[in-house]
Amino acid sequence: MYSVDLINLTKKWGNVTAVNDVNLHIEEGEFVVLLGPSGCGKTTTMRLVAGLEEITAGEIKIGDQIVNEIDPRKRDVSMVFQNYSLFPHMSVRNNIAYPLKMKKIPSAEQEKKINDVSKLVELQDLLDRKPAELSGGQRQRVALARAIVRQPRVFLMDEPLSNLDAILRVTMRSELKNLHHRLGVTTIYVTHDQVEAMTLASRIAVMSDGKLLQYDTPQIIFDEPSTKFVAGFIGSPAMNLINGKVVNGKFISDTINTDFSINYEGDITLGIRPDKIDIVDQNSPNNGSVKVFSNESTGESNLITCKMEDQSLIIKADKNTNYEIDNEIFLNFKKEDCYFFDSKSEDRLKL
Amino acid sequence: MKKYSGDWYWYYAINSVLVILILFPIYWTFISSVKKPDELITSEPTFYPHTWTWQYYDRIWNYDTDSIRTNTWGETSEDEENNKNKEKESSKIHKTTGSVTQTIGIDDAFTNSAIVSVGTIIFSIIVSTFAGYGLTFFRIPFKEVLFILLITPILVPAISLIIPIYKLLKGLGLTDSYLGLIFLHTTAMLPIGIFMMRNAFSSIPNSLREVALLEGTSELRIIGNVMLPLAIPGLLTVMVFAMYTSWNDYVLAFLFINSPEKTMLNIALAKIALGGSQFEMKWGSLTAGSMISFIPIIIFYTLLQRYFVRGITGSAVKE
Repeated sequence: MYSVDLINLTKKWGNVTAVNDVNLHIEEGEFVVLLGPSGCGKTTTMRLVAGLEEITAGEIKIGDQIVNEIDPRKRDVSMVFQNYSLFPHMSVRNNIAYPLKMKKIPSAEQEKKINDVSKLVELQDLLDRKPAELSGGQRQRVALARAIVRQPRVFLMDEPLSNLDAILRVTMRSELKNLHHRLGVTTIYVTHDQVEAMTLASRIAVMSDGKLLQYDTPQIIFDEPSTKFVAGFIGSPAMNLINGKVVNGKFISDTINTDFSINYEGDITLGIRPDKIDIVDQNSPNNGSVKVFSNESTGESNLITCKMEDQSLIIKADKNTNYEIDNEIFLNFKKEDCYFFDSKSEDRLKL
Repeated sequence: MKKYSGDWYWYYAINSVLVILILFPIYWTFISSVKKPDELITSEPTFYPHTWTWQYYDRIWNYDTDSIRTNTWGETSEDEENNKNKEKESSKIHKTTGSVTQTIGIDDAFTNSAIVSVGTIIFSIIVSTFAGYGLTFFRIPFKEVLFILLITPILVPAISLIIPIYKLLKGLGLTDSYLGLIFLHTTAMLPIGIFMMRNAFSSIPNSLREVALLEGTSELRIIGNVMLPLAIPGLLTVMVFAMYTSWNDYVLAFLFINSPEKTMLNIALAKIALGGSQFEMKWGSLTAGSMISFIPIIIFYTLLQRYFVRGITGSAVKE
């Protein structure tokens, strides 16, 4: 088992900085998800670990070895690509056998390993087919089998589930989790899907604009987001972020004005998760009123969207409630459910 | 059922005209090669032979050029076998004298052309594959400029560069050699070959190379195991173009091959046609020889035309 360390890792394409001074320590056997919107540098970071891109500055260590100058052929990592990248002219068996053949493993042993792996990912009956004759989920399993068959030092996955349909994605997600539990290989997984990140990761690294914003366990990332970006990115539906300012210790915005006191003065962003907003009677104490823009039932709850002056607000309400569009509703927040972010730096303020 | 638009017959009409225009010279060559001399050289040519004869084929293949010159065409001599032996001897003597009209039998010329064509195909495939691969997958500074520079020679006719090419080959000691001609044909072929192979490789996802790379595959094995099997249509197109370029060449073969025994097929045919007495054109032998020279191209193209068309259109429209 091997740990992976990224030390002040930087990658520039001309004037564009794709990865900006990232520091990341990945423990042996950990499952780390690099999460962020497209173009945030997460895939580039992974490709730097694989050696498919050249490092501009910084260091990458696999185990105790600095791999900056080591050829990708010798890094002993394997990668699963978004488009599976199976060799179309080879049968499933030969695809899985490819890494073993390259390592010149005796054919008896090859046979045994292929059987073990194909059992693990349930491909025993498909070994003689060509990739074109397989469904998306099966192809993905072949790609996984090919990546794990030689037990690499590090396992890299670049959005492996994003080409699958929604149902299959959920199934494959649990299979991946199970597989990682069995193999225990250090894994780096890239995705823009925060649900995948939350469910799979032992730790999540949230990235934006090439910078690492926060690196922690899924629960801490959810409960204690370090910046406004992380707060808005994690959770479904996302956290509501209301721009306003604090005057005389009270939060004031176009529509929402809180009554609890805040030890701050100036521009601020208030964040609150959709399920923490209470809808109250007009007569009871409240923090403001908004008009219902739409209401969507998910079966387990009602999602109510409200438009404020220049932003919208989503409230996750009880499934038995019924708020008509254009009705006015009154909202109440508790201070302990609120997050505050500096309007300029976007950093979290503990107030 | 596919629905045809109302104009479908125009499609057939125009294409029929084109097909006739293209095939007519070949048809004319063919009937000229099977007509008897009195029908062949006449003021009232017909579009079909009244009587057929294969004698030109027989003679041009079985006899060397001197026999062609000395034989009275159109008559079937009874003592052919004797003639043949005698004249072969006489041609050998002539060869040592190096007379201008002297050349070799068409069967040997055929072999010479085949050697050069196969050589051109092999060299073209090797160089086009490596160049196309590098231009597709490697990060090279100014790659696009390099690519354009590599394919611009399409626009330069070889004939305009004859003198520098001659000096170059002379310097390398490659004039009057198969290898020299193979190099020239390959060079003439390379712009289109590189273009074809680059397009063939461009349609293969880069991630296939990267997977192989991470599994520890050397670049050569990636080309052999992963890339070439997927670029076969492109490869076959390059082969057809190489064959076509080399087999059809006249000018380069004429200028750079001097030894009679190394004469290429097209040159041999021309010499046969002009090899009679003054102002006499040997139409029968020329057309029969031309028909023989069509055969390899027709076989090659028929076998590979499926890929050939796909290779060309595939490079025009990138998926």
